[in-house]
Amino acid sequence: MTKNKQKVIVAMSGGVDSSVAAVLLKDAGYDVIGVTMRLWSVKNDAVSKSSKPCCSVEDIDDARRVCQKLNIPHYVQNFEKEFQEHVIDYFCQEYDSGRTPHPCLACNDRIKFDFLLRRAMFLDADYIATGHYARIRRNENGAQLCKAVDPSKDQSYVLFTLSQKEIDKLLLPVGEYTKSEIREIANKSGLTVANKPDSQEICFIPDNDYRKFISKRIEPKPGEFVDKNGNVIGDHPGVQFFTIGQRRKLGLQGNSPTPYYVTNIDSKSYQVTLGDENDLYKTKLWASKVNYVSGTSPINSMKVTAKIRYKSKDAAATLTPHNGWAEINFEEPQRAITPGQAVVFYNDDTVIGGGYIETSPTPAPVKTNVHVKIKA
Amino acid sequence: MSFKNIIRYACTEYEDELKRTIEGLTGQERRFVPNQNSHHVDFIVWHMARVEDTWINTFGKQGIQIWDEQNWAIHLNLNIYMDEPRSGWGWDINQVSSMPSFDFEQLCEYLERVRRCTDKYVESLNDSDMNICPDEDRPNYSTAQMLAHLVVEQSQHIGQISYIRGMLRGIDG
Repeated sequence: MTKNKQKVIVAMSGGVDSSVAAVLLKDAGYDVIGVTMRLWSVKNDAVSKSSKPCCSVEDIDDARRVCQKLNIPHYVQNFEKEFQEHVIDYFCQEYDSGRTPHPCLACNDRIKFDFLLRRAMFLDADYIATGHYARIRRNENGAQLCKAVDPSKDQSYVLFTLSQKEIDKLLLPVGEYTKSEIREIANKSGLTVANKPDSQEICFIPDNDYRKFISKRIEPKPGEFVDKNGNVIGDHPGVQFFTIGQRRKLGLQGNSPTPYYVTNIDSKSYQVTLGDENDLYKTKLWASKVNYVSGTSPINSMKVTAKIRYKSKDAAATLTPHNGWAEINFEEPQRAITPGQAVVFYNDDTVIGGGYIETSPTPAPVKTNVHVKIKA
Repeated sequence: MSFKNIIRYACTEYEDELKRTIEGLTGQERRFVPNQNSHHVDFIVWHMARVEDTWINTFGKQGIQIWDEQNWAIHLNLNIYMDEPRSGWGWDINQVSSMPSFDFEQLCEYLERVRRCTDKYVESLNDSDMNICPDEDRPNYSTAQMLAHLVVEQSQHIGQISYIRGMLRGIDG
């Protein structure tokens, strides 16, 4: 039996972007199936209505109603175990190591473009699609990952881990439109989610209090605040509760002549180094677990633009590839280069690749699937 | 194997399955309805407990229900007018959707007491009891028929809960 249409599984969160992705693909003639990934369960009802967790009943119901409106099937697939292992545990482990993780990277890399993709293939799908704001250009040399049309919504940064094998099976229809156009399409299509607010927080921490989330899951590592010369300034409650560039909630008594910023976190000595704002600026970083979307590492150093955070601006830099890692030298100093976050390299609007920011040129291998010590 | 043992095994399995299907569901999930004409999990579980209490104590034992004897309507904040058999049977969708909220752990406690009562009742029966028709209003309906019906009805409701759970949490969720 042959298929008349190409089948695509759309990962539907219940938000407007993935809902419109389904609309666009249905209009384009695909056989569309909506799948909502159940990633996280709140273990009790003690969540305020103002801080709605991800995978809520409302979100799943929203996705289902959109599918009913489009007359397409909708399924919920459960990825809670995978999410716990590859996103939550990773998130806690990184903070435990004094680093600042970006959980969306792990979720995309492992949950959406690994586990979901594999399950989609079991449903005899040709593609999976998401509501990410990014674009894919395909030509005879393979596929390129590009920035979204709407620069204010571009999410190519969180997709740098994509391989050619994955991108070959991926559709990103939303990236061709601005956010206002997406809402307009949703309105015209009669979707109830047309004016649903964007999600802002880390999806599994709806109140945005990551310190509270972390403190429930890992033992704190209290230690000393020191200045850049190693002089002790005070005590802190745990290296897990700080990030590079942090100024507030340091918990120091008294006033200092200039504001203190976190400039370094050492999870072995439990020391958190404080300095002034100038100490946050650096021109060099190293990246581990580097992925090149084309599948091929550049042979020589090359001029790129690079982003060191999701919302940071592109900055001119030189990328020097090494075996599995890379050295990045910026033309202008960058503020708060933060280990654990991603650095993503671009050539104009095309993603060359990216990696995880490290503090040294010979980074320790990033452990995977290691469970941090969970509090009793 | 005796009919009694078959019923005993069936009830044990249904109880285990019920616990599995409701485990971890939040209050919001228990009140989710797939569409406006559907029942929610809170109602279904309460209905299951009431049905079993009614069949075992009113029909089988011709006695007083645990619901009444132990004032569970008050414990569960469900001291509202209900038509007989006061089990939710025949409720329209407005009654289901406006069912007062209650402490689900308390409902599970009520269900637990009903289940243990059923165990004792089944244990007390011998094969000849199975053919007795205990309710004079239903002279052709035997204890065996009632017990068989109870297992089928409860299994049906577990399927409904599992379906709702699957809609919210997916397979294996």
